[in-house]
Amino acid sequence: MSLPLLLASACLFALSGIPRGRLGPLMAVAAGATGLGGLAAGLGDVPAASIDLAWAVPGGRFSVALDALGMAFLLPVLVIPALGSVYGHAYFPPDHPTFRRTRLAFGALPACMVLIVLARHAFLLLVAWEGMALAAFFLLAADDHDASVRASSWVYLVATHIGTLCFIAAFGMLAHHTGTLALDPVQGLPIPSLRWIAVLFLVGFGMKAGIMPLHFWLPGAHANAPSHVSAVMSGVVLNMGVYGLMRMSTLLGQLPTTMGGILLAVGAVSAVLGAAFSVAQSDLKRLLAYSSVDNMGIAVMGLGLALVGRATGRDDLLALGVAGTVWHVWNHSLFKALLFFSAGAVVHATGTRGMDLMGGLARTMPVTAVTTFVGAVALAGLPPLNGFLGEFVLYSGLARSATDLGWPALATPALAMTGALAAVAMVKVYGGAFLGVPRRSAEAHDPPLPMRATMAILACACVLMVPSAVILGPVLDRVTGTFAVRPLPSLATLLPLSKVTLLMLAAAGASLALVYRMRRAPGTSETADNLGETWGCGYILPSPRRQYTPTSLSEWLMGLFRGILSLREFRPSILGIFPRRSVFAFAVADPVLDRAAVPAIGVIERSATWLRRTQQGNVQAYVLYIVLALLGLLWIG
Amino acid sequence: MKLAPLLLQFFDVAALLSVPPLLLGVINRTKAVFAGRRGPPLTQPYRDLVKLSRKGSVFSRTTTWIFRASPVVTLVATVMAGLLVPLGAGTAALGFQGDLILFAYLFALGRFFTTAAALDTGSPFEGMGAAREVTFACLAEPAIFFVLLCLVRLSGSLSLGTMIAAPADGHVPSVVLCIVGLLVVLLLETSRVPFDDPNTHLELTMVHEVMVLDHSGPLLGAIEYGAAVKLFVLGTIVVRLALPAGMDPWAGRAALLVGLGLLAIGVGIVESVTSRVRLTKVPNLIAAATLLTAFAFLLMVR
Repeated sequence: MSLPLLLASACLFALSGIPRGRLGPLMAVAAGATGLGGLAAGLGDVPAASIDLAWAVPGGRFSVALDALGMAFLLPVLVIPALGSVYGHAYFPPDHPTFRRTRLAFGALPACMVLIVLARHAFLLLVAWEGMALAAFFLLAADDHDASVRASSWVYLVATHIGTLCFIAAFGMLAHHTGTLALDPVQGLPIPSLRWIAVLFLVGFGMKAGIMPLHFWLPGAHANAPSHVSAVMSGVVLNMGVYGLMRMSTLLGQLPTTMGGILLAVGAVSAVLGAAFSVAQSDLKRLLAYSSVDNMGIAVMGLGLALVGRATGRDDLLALGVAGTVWHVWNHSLFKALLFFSAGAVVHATGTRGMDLMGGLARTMPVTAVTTFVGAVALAGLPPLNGFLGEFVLYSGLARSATDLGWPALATPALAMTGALAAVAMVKVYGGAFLGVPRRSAEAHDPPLPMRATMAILACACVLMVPSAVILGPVLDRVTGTFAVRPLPSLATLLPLSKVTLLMLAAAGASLALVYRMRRAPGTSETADNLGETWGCGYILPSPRRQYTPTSLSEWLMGLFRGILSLREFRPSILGIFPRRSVFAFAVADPVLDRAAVPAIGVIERSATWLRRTQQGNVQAYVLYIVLALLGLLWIG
Repeated sequence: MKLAPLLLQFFDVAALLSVPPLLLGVINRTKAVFAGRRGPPLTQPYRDLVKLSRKGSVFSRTTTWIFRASPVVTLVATVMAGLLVPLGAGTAALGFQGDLILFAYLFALGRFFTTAAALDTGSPFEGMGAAREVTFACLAEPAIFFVLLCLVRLSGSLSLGTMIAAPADGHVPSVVLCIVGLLVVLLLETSRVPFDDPNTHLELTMVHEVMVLDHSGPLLGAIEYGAAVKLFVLGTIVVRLALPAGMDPWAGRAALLVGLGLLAIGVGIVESVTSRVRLTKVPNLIAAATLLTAFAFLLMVR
């Protein structure tokens, strides 16, 4: 029953973009529910369900199957877009010039992703992958009247097609050795080919996941898209990169320890730098986008640990690595979607994305403040929320490797630094935008009910993920099972998850009880006569402009990363007794995009001008090219 | 048989809750002696806490619930971290495999709330303190984890109780480096000279003190008590690493308390004979500590 339900869910998602009114979001929610039903049915399927049909496309087969790894990645694919559709209905006005197109693409995106996860044939996978990439392109270009949006969506399109080219090469090489495009476990590949295939997959899927230095398309694209699109892009589409890496790792069973080491190193760099870049941003949505780079880095680190464990026969590292990766991906989907939804509400209410212009929103937007706070604590990986538990699994795996292997544990301090930086970014978001006094006298307000409801659902999910750790453990054991033929140790035997959960909940309960009691106790309760102004060294007329801005909060820390971040500072020049009006500005550019990607594209463009002559936009000319190409192929064959 | 471990745990909890202010008293007395004064009685911090708990509070109009919850959450998190560390041979009240991670993250949780509460007041000074605090924390976090990794390697366990009790045989240089690195982290985390001066009177130069400028009454008491507990917990780890392994549970606990007293005197001496490092040089000092601990780990792995 599981596969038909999931395929039906994909169709419903695809169709949900067609109706104009409320029917669309309703269909999307129905699609999500149908898919979840399919997953529930899939839990009972032994052996795993599969469908294999002939397809008229030459060399292609419609081959789909559902296993535990697929189920794990389908979960966010089904939940977040359904919620995003409801949120978007209230957020994205029907009179928007690209309303129809955006809604159509918003429905097509999850449909393609369901197919990607289910696909067991390279051709079907590539078709679905292209569908996802194109749908995402139209979503990112929703506000295409704005030049910066057009620019960033074109960068995205180029990046995603570099990835696709890598896949075509990799699958071609695989098919050359195995003689089939079916995605089955591969044995006995020659080592040089294996190396090339692994690198091509790493570049292709790494590009989609936004791993440094292939992240250059991500911040601009995610920050400029409408917020419900950003939520699905960051919360779900990036997962597809991680899913691809994991799926290919299950197929290529002979990947050496070095590959695990490379993934650990790439993931660690991506995590630390992604977090550092995110701290440096003063644009709320850019900050969240860079934080996705950091979180995908953490996920890749987990996969690296798993591959090291598999190659060295350390089953505990394999199990902890896979479980930690999947768990972190789930958590990231929840809290990143939540934070982008909340950011959308903030941007909508304040009319700006610059955090330096916000402040004091906790009073005017109480619901958004609470949901942002939950998302911020979860993203910072702090106990007692879900973000901590996922990282706890990864930390345990990394620390375990310290006892004998040693070197994989060197990623632990990197993860610790990432955590500290992410916490700064979240203090910046919550402290800068929601606390203090408003920096502009704008009347902000909470968003309408559908938006509030989706935000509340995600916030509750972040909290409920903690007690459900006990249920999720056995589910994760089945996911780790897809990585090895032999039985692996279960998560419950490796980690005292129930004890951690219980401890954290007890501490949270104790804190809540104390805070509640304190609000009523005579010494600490608020009365009319114990309120005053903030201490300002005796100055009693504070101005909102005197507050420490979010940018100044991170300025010193960013100065320490000066060598890596390209900071542009314009310091004020104060000269003479009556200095003239002066300006201080601080901007952070992406060094990979500015110093590597844009110049490289320029070089390619200049060296390929002669090719333009062949592109006349004339149908007959293109038919001629096809005929010539066919003739050429016949001649070679 | 069953009673002895329970008794030890009871002692640990009692010591964790009651001894910390005494350490502050010892530090202050040492500084007074160095300055040629008699100084306040050793029990003065307790009296201060009692006095604060009886006072009322004043709140800034700008603040929200974060400001009120922050001292409580920080205190609960610090005490919980303390409950993961046994004071001598035996298991901690709440210890488990992997508790080192929760230990480090509980301090991070406290920092998150403290800095958020500082921004809650909308004061430029408190924002400045928060910026300094988070900058130092980002640099110190890897040092803490390198030390923890060394201990994991040494003991083969992921539980703090076993980790800090492991004998150092063959790895003495690494353990010494770890202790030095941890001492730097301890001075930094507890806002002591040479990183911060708890006695400074100028808001512009403060780090930790400035973040709690607006707190008053019982909430301020909770913050000060939490800071003392933090000193006690981090000090326990340093002292237990320095003590020989395999001591009798009770003798070990007695030695630990003596060691903590000596540590407090040491902090007092450092505070009396050195001045603060220039603020812009602090990151260099922390980076040096991180490198030391990284070196310690590499020495063990090689």
